[in-house]
Amino acid sequence: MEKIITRDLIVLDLESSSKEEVIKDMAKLIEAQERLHDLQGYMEQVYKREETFPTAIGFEVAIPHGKTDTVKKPTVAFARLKSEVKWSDEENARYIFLIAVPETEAGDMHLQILAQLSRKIMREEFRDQLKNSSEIDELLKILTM
Amino acid sequence: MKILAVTACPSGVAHTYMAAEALERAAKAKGIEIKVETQGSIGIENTITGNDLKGTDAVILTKDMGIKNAERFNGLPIVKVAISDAVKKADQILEKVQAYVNSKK
Repeated sequence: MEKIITRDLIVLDLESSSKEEVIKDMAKLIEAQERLHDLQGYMEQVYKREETFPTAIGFEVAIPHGKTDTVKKPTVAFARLKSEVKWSDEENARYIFLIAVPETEAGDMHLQILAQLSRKIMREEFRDQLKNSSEIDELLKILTM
Repeated sequence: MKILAVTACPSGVAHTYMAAEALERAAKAKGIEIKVETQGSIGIENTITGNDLKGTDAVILTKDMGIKNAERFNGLPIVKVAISDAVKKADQILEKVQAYVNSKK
């Protein structure tokens, strides 16, 4: 099975300065790995969802996502921003998980992994590891454990 | 005290599971017995059955999506919460439910 997160989908000290820029920069990472059919279309879906339902979940974490036909392969990109950006009226975010899932994702495997990852994000020990690690390889290990 | 909960969100990919985890963790910290059913894109997991209903003090349902088979909770006190609140404020939600349940005793 193809992995939903790889080394190339993790970025540290991303210098994007707004929420829109963060989503764009990270979506481009996913696109560069040939995991999207349509970058623009995917980003529009993510923005649209953010408008109605901002995905900041507290602890400086945001999980923008798009479940749409513009996605080729189920993917998670992770970025730790150089400095936090405003994510909603109430919240800033510095740790971003951009999720891309095809509308018609048939297999449960990838969705199971995403569900597990979502649960992990709620655990303080896991978030501390994301905050404190300085190596991409170490992060990859934490994210895929 | 025993609580049941069902979580569901529009895409069914992330918040459903975050909310479940948040509620489970908050309940554990308070010594509350809880079972959380998730209705996500994977389908229904950790299904709440007739047996689970026995002795239940309150039911928490997220209100962003229609909850499937909600009629099984008829007759029990039901609290509806936004899924984002279940993710971010599980502690406060449980405190309120706890206060409500205690006030009925």
